[in-house]
Amino acid sequence: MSKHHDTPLRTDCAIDKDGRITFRLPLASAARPQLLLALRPKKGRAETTRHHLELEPDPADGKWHAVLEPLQALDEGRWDLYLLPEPGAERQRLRPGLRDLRALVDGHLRDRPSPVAVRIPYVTKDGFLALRAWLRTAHVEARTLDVTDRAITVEARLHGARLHEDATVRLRLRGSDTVRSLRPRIDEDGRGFSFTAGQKDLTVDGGGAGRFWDAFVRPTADARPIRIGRLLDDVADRKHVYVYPAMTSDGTAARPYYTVDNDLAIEMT
Amino acid sequence: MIAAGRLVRVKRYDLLIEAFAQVAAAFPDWQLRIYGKGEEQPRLRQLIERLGLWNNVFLMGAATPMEAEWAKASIAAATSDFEPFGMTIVEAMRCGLPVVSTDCPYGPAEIIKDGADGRLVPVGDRDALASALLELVGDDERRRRMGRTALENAHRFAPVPVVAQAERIIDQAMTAKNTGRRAPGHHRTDSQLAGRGHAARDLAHTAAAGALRAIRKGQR
Repeated sequence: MSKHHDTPLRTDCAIDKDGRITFRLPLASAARPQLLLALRPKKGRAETTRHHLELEPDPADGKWHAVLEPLQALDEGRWDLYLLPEPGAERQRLRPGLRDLRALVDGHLRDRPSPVAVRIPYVTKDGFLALRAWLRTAHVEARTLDVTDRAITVEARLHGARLHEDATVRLRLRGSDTVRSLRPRIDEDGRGFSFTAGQKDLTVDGGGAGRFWDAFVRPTADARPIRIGRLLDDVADRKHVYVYPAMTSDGTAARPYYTVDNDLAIEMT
Repeated sequence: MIAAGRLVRVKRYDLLIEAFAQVAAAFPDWQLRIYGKGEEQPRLRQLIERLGLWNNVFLMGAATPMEAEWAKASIAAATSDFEPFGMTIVEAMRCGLPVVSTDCPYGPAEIIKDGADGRLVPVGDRDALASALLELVGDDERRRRMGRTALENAHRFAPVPVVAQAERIIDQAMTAKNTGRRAPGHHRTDSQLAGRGHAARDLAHTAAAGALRAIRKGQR
């Protein structure tokens, strides 16, 4: 891993409702500086995917700015951000300044076409500026969850595809081939829907403790399953913030939650 | 709407969540985000579950800087039983938010002009709090007008330097109390803050004097 200069250089960023991200940082002077976006590789792997953005001086505020356009699709994952003061120079990891994510807050209210691309700037645990990206052909955005002692009901909306009459909700038991199929209640527009999972839908042979169900939608028979999650707002990591009660019965509990990737799952204990 | 601060009993986030239940019932699209960390978190989580508010009320964890978060809200809420400074109130007003706060000792009433840039409600009064919140949620024009007034009025509070001064005074007083030495008198307070502007000095003076009173009475 390359050594980082501990630069006090703080980078402001702002995102607009189309997903265009503008980065601003104060540079003393520079010869062809660039911003580097690098997809964080899986443990033990090498870094392979990078994007470069040109930095240009803005006469209005004396800072340099770079723009990540909405059509510049980023692969799904976490992207680290660096300054390249000049070509061939050592890169410096960016520290966060102001993050203006206001435009993301009501993002779920707008229907997205395919492919659904989401980018949310966030701050890593060790205090660096980074981007969380999702890129999916289609996406199901979960909204309200109702949990009683008998059932879990999810209201959601499909983006980038339409639901047909034979659409199904699929709950897949992680680490197995077990799939439970549920019939959704589909809205007139073919996009909004809801489904309910009861006790019997979530039973696991031999007890369920420590097992997880991942939730998908098949818009029509034999279509590729589309993951259900919650991506269309300003929260990059919602696992410990969007927290739900458990449906408890007969000593087992089923609690809906969001994974570290903001995908909807149900934990059995 | 947003509230921010350490998750401790005196901040009364339980009161805020209970009052917000009435807002969510009438306006299910509204969210309450509470930023901060602290020992009350598990109890607040239980309260959210008991009231069925998990789709509307979120414990966000700590956030710095808060300015970026305030900017996402349209109302700020503060529900403390006791709040000597009210820094978060000023912070929210500087981001253009009307603030609904309990009228607790000693900060909020020094900062908020009831009906103009925010609302003051009696300490611990859940229904009065709910009414005040519902009023602002239900009236877009009034809410925005009060937000603009909040932004203008916030200019009279100089930011960090003044409050840092006041906090230093309190620290000195606390140290003096604990070690038995005399605390610095009011005269020194005035001269330290001279030249910083009348209203800002008044705020710090009032806050410091109030807190010194509390320390002398042994309430702190």
